Amino acid sequence: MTLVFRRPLFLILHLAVLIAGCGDSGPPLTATGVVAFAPLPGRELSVAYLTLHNHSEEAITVQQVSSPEFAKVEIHESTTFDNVIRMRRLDSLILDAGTSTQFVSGGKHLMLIEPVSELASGQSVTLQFEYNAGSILIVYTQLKTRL
Amino acid sequence: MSHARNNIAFVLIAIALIGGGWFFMRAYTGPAARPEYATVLPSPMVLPDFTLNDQNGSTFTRESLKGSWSLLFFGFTHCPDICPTTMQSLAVAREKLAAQGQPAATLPKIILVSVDPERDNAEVLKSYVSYFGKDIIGLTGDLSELQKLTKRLGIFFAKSPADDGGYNVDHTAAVLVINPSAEFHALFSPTHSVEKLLHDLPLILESK
Repeated sequence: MTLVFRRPLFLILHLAVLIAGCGDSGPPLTATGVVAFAPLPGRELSVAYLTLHNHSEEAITVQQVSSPEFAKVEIHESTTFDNVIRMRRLDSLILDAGTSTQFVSGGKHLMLIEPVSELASGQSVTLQFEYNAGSILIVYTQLKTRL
Repeated sequence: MSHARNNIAFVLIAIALIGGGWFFMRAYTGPAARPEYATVLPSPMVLPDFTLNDQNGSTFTRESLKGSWSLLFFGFTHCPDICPTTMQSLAVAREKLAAQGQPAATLPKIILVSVDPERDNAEVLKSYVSYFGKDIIGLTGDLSELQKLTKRLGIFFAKSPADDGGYNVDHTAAVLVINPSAEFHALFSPTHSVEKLLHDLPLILESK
């Protein structure tokens, strides 16, 4: 489920935006195939994968991702060369007009850092994508177990 | 004269039958199945001597690898992406191999060798590997002992500073197949999937 709204009007316009989001134009940024894993035992890190879609005719810049369930969420990218994998943090992510970007294992992914409380599979988490200096995409998903 | 002609005819018929039989055998069975994703070494490579510790604190050496197939993955527990995904694929693939009737004696051990011995002590490894299965092995130990193994196998690992002052570890993400003679036998390059492992592992495991 995804919602789009202007930040200062977050609470007041929540319902209005829900309805607006169902209109003909639709939100410019949506997410599908969201999978977030519960942290492994003793770990303070986990990961989420998804696909972001830019439905607009303009490029979209995702500046920040956050989650109330984690102290920090970062966009990371793993790259493999000659069987060696390297992981780097991305400051932002640009989605060209009308394109989709996949977050997958071994590629771009969301690193979920320091859960604010103990999290287990089945629990709901929220991911907030801040883009284009003020718009927000909110994604809800349930944590999954690896096995 | 007639006798000689009969002999020639007999030989020709025999050749035709054998040739035809071979042709139909090939047509029916096709060429022998081969691994599609793994690289099988032309000659298995003997592993060097090394001494590491498993997640229970027990000594683990090259001798410990003898007698069964093993899948070696070099990773670390602070890795949120490729390491848990690979461990998950290995664990699920082995479970499916067992369900498909792969004899228990040839089911490979799954071994995570930590390339971050500074943070991955036995206790940390124990909680991590036990998540993926009760008989999965985690190895850690002195850097010099680890390097004996990695250098010989061409496994790269190096710390990479993170923005928060901590560090990540860049590392080779291949899965190495070790045969029951403790030799490096084959290699799966990343990214790994259950499907790739399930296709190739039975072919590799029956090869020795």
